[in-house]
Amino acid sequence: MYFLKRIAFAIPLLLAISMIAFVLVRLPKGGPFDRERAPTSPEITRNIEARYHTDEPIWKQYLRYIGAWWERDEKGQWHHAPAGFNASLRYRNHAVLDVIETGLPVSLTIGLLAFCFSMAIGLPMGFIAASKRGRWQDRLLNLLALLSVCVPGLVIGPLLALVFGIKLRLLPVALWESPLHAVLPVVALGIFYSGRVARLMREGMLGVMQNEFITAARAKGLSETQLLFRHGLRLAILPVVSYSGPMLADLLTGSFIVESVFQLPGLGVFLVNSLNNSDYPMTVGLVLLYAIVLLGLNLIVDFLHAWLDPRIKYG
Amino acid sequence: MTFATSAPAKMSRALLNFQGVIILIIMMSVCVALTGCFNREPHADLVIANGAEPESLDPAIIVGLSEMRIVSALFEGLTRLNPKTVVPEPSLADRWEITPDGLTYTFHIRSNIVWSTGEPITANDFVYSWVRALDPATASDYAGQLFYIKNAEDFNAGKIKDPNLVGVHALDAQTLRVDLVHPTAFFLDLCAFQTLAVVPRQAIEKYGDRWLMARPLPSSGAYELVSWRLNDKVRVKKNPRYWDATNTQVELVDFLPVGSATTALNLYETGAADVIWDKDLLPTEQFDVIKQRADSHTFTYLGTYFFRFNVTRKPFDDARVRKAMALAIDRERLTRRVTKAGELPADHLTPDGTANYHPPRGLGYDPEQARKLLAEAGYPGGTNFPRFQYMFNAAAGGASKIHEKIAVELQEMWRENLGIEMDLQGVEIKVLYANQSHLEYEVCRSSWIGDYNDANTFLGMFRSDDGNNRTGWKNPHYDELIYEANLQTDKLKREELFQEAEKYLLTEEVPIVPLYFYAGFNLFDTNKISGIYPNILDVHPLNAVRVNRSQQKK
Amino acid sequence: MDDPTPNLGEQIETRELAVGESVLDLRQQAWQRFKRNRLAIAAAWFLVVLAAFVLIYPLFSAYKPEALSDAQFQPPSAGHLLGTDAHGRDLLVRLCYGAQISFLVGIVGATVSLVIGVMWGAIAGYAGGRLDGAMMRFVDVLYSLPTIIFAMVLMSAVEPSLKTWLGHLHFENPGKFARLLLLFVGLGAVSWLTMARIVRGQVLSLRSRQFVDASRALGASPLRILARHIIPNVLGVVIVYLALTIPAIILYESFLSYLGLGIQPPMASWGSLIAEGAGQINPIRIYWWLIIFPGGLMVMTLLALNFVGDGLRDAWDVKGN
Repeated sequence: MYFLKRIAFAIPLLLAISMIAFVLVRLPKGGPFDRERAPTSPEITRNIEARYHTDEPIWKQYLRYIGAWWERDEKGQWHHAPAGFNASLRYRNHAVLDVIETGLPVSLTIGLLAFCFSMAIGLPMGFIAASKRGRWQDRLLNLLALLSVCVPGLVIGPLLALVFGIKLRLLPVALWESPLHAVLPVVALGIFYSGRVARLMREGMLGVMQNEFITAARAKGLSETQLLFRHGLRLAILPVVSYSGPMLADLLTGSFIVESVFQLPGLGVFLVNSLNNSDYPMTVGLVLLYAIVLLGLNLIVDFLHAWLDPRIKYG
Repeated sequence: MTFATSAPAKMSRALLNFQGVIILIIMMSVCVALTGCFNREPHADLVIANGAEPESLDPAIIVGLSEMRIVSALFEGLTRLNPKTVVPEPSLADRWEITPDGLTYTFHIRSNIVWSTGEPITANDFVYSWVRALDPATASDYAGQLFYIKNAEDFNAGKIKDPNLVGVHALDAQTLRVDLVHPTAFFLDLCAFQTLAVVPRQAIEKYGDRWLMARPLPSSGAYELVSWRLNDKVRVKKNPRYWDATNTQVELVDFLPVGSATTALNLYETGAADVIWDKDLLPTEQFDVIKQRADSHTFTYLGTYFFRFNVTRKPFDDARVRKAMALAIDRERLTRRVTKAGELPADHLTPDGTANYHPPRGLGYDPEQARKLLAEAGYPGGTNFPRFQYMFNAAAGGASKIHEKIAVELQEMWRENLGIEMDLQGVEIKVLYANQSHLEYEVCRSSWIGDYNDANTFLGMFRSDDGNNRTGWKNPHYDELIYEANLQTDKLKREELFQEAEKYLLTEEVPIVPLYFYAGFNLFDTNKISGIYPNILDVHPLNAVRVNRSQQKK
Repeated sequence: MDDPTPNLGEQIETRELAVGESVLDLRQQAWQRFKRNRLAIAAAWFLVVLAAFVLIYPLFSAYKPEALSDAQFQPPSAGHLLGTDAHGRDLLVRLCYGAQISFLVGIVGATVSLVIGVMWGAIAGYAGGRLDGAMMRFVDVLYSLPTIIFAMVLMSAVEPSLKTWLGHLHFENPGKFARLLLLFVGLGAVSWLTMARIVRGQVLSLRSRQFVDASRALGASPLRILARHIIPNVLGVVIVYLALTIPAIILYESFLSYLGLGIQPPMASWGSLIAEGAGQINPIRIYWWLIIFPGGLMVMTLLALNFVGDGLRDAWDVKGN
């Protein structure tokens, strides 16, 4: 029931998000059609503005954008103004949905693979660090995890491309043509998050190790590792699970740097470029997409959280 | 939902189940991700790092150079430019007559030419295309290229509604007559320009705005469109129905929309790209190393980097101030220290090498004179000179920070030589253009790339009513000089008038200050690729390119 | 922006004060624990020494950070200890100034986010009911928007008006200050969300404790209760958050600089220096000092900040480690 309520609530939430994004994007000066080369006559500017309705007040533009506008034509008949959310203002022959169709699989692939990579590296790191806590393995792994969180992606990306792509010629440096092309971007993106995951896992494990029924099981005589693995893992992984929602969202939205360094046709570059180009349907469209993905992810994560943690009650 | 705490045994089973499920989900998503999303296709014969992602491939509305390179392969016009000399030569029209007064052109379209999809191309298609480019509903930025045609400007402004009144008519299926407003020395160059290319009426009438999504897309040029994936690549293949198809050698060409110079270089070094042909894709800091290489080719280019004064704002309304600031700039230092790609310092606006034109000398570098002028204007040694802002577009992502670097140098030069203080104002590029149009700036960075090989493309901009003026400078004397020049059929007289105009513009009034001329730049291995010639317009018709297959790396 | 303290709320539980104990005692205990953590102390010393160096060295250096020269792209040498950049400016001096700016941006930004977050979370948590629901829903909405939009819009939309306003206030250099001010506010504004959630959680659990009930029974106003009882108890979390958010903000600023929205030239921050340096990584020739020194210094500082933050968290964490 709670989850159904959440889903129902999502719709006005998305509407609110689209409104905020719409207004925000229209704020800065500079419309999508401003260029180095001025339009040949003011008539052309007028025509463009009339065509894309950029001369109307903002609330009207917004209603038109979501397809909630009706108007009278010359004959006095009411008809529905076609919803404006699909028309990109910069790529005049492409629709926003075209862009999403080609860009989303790429961003999703990279995001998911980076997620798996971070988990695959981070979880074992955290586990080992916690089980050997206080010893040199713990210190080393903790240091590595911290390091990975402190180096910015815009340094790691080009460095990886240089070392593995140019100097060692092992992997392709850019573009998106085969599974091999995904390796460097995924690593560049995933390193940061693997560090976070490792630290969270370690903290979760350490917290669990104090737990009551663990001490009980210890009394039963199970070995430390077995103990941690079978009983502790379920609770220890909780912080990681709650972080996975925002993490996956960040992976999807924060891929801009990786996409621009490796020239990947994902959505991150489109979002930033649309902001630069004042292509507001594209911006709002992509923002809505992210919001939908985020809300969906949060829902799944909350569900997992409730399933895993007996202490949580939703009602 | 509540859970009763269960015995450890039950829990470990549940735990294993849970772990198993998680692992399964992860594996499944990985498999889905891996298989679904890659496009396996044959490798192209020629891969070109082209520059920014094309906004559109519609010849009537494109503005940028990277779009033009692709569009020129897909849609041709009456003439095309020779790859070596960029002189217009016959293309879809094989011959033409011009009346002695220079006002009427009669073009004869080649017989039996067809679209790549088989329909014949006729003179009516040209009328349709040109009227469409002029139609205010199309909102073409470059419609001005057609304003030399009778009634074209009025039609575009909406004063005339009947397209038949525009001075282009099809006398029959193979003959096109064009009436001009005044003699235009570069009209044949214009006919090779993208806005005047012929577009497929059949596709546009059928699909409307999404006609470029139609596959197969009818094309009139040497190549046809195979696929266009945004931010990924544009792929074209040889059009066997092109009138000159026998001369087209390369079968499959990819254009890559590369954003940053480093990525372009990486692609080139690993052999993923064969050619880099956009000067913005050159990392200027490394240029001194790159230019030593055999595969780098630089050449003079029809483009100028300059900055504008907003002459409606104090203190830039005083020509002495503007002149002083112009005289205080050491352009040679700029090109030596900052741009470093072999650009030439510019003291005049129209680049050397423009056809039929020898530009006059402008103001040089004279800090003494500059200080004198500034003192005369009321700001001796820079005292009381208001702090002003120099606007430029901030580089996003990996794009070169050249504008910023130039701004820093100018700031230093003005401070040293004149004692005036300047602030840097980096803004988004759209904001820059908007501010330029609305005269909401004090000094701002600009550039201009010539559309055709004639001085008018540079000098005509600064007429009082030209939309590209954007300085607030209105001068009837200058307008008259330009107007007179364009009426001339005598090339020498025309040149004289343009020279007078340019000298007036740059040494007396100085609403703009040219800094340097762009240098064109191409990177490709001459053993592998030929047919890309260094010309002043940087146009490289694909039809002329040859790839040496035995040398191709895989 | 990535959430730098994803698990903070659950980790630090405030505990009931024992009879006769004051909040000050709690703090002293925490400080004792912190002092025992040698790594954190070493990191703290490193930060202090670094701060001193970046403030003092420029006063003695022969080079100004904005002085151009013809010695472009010089590798480290006796004359220029860390080399020079594209305009011939000395890198060491620029790093020092950059450090000042980065620290300033990080601290002020984190403080801004802290102030907003604490107020928001405290009010929401204490008020409860409808107001709480509405306020947290707002936080949820903002959480779902990519922060990059706010950053870009803020920079482009607000900056011109801010500049004119500062000009009216007779600031000598409105352009420079406008951008800096915007960075402070902007970076803080995109990172207060987590703080609000954490504080709200803490306040919720504190609200039902005995000492609050007692205060209320004695007739204290909500504001007084908030100020004297709740906020001091939340302070522990807040300090840890501060220490861990500063690195995140500095990193985010480097991202903004990469986009051209960060510090404007000729000023420098670590972010802009690193963005410049990252642009130098290419297959032809690498000016390695332009990336190693700024990058290395930033990494070390962020590491130190993280160690200090960890130490603080361990010190405040009553559950023990």
